[in-house]
Amino acid sequence: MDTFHYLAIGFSQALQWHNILFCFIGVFVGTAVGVLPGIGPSSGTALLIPITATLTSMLKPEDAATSAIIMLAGVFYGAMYGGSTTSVLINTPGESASVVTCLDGYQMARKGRAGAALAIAAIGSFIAGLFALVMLALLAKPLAEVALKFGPTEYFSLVVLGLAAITGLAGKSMPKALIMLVTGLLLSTVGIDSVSGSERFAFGIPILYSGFDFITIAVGMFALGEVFKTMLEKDEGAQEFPKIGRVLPTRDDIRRSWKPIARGSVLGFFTGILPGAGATLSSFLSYTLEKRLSKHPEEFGKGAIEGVAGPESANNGAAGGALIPLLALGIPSSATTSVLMGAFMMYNVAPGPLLFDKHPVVAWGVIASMFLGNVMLLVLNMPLVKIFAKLVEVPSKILLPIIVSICFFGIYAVQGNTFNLFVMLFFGVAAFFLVANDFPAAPLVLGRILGPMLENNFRRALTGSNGDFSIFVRRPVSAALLVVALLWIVVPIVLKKRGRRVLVNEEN
Amino acid sequence: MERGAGTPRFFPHYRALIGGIVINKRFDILAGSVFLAVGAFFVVTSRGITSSSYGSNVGPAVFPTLLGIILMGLSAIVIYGAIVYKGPEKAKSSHNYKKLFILIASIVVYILIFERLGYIISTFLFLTFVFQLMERGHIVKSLIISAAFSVAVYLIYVVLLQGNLPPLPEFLTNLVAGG
Repeated sequence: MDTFHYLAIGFSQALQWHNILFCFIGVFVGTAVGVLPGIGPSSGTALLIPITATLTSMLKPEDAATSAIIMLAGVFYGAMYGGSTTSVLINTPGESASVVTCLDGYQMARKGRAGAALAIAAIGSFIAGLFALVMLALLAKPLAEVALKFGPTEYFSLVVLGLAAITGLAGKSMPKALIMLVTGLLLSTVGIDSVSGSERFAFGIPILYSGFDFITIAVGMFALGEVFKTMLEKDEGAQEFPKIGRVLPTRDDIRRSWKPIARGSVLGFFTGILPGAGATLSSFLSYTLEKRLSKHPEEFGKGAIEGVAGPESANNGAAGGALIPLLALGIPSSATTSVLMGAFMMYNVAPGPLLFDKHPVVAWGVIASMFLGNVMLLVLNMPLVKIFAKLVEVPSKILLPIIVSICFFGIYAVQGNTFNLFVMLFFGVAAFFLVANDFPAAPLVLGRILGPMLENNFRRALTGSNGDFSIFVRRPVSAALLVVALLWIVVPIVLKKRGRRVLVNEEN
Repeated sequence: MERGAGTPRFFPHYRALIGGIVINKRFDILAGSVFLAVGAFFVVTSRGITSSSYGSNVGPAVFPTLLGIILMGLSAIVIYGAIVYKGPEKAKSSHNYKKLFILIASIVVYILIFERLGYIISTFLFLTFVFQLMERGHIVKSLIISAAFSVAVYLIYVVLLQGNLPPLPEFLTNLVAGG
């Protein structure tokens, strides 16, 4: 059976009416999350998980997983579209992948060309999204088949590589990022050990037997932590709101933009595959590339449409690319994809090499739904962009208290007890202080999610080798993966030591 | 870009990193100590895990013990880096911390009354209070938004979708049923 056959199965799932609805809710919320400041894609996805859990509760387990992931993935790539709207209109990125879009997008808006900037951003995102999807459909299964040959030793090293890559780019200080990662891994060991059944670090307290749930930690650190931070920032008040004008690019705009869009799509996709790099980095790379290739580099920063088209395509391409390691290897490459991974786990559908074998309907249903979702997003972000732009005017003094209340609703709906609300508050307050002092939040959440997988493979590998630790470096594939992991930590250190500026990925 | 003067030699990149960023010495020492204690805690309590791992010589204590040791090492690096750091300190921000502490306190109260008063009443009280905390005035607007939000969420989620949220307190429902 080939890719087309599987895609057909996927479309037969994605085109069921309830999945079309879930997809629409997902991309709609995603666009809103992208537009609203104070709530990013990772907290938006985390907050939506409890709601999807309820909405899908009447479906069969596998159908429920498909519908839920379709909706959550929609939030993820939808936010990439929405984030550009605020960058262009009020010079404030809705999420970090749209920071570069401010440079030229806002200048275009000041010249009365906001509509053209928004349109080219949506078109670029659409083309990049489709390109990433085609590549995803072609590459994911072959990659999964390679990973299927991995034993526990190789898998352990692969997870280490994933963790090293994300942590290496997670923040300004490597030791601090590693501290957060290890703390997350340690948190994952609290509760009943799944292998031996013994109780670990629970001290006979029943509520701790199930451990600290990732969703509680993710909502606390991403959503609540962000609320505290935004609350302390000055409310800038009503800003001059530029007219959007005509939401159609001119023929000249298209002529200038198609090459940056094509380059951005490819660049973004491959940056997205790399764990840790992600959407923000890819948009910076694309901007630099376009400026270098342009015949009029002096126009950049003054409203060059290439400076909007390239980066906006790149960040959407990266969002698609990021799904490859998630679906095929079970390794999330960013804060948002790790939240998505947690959602998969909640439905007992582990992403990774076995996903395509065991749950082809889930895997291909989600991929097919993204074709649909990208079309919906194009409509939402071209003709309807003026409606979404109104969301920018929602004042944070109304938005923030409501986000807190949605956090409560979400955690209580999933957990059903107030203990987890205290846990959420604790992690929210901790994240607020830690993030302000360059201890990044994403590695901790990631460590909590990947911890069990890391430990299980670690123990299985050592059991196979009779406790000999050298097994990890004696098997060639494992050794190679560990070397790459080490390089991912060491190379930025060396570059920084030489005084080079290294881009870090701050998704929050 | 400021550069820290005396920086640890055994972790070479730390210097360049601190060179780029300004740190808060006291916070880093405090946070480093807390993480050091967390690491030590896991190492020590791992010894008490009852191991029943027959058929495997890697028990449930090995992984957390190793991680605990790594965490202690990393914390030591951060603490040392902060102690020897001589660059400029993070300026005291003029942030409105009082507002933040009131918000956190009101979240604690919200948790405490959440099950006792039920979702609708506790959420209504919390939202009204925090709207007023964010900006005084427009009390009618605050009341309307809080009431609309809490009732709408409850109706949609519990009545329509059959989800689970704390119901109205019994004495109230009894009152309505009795009256």
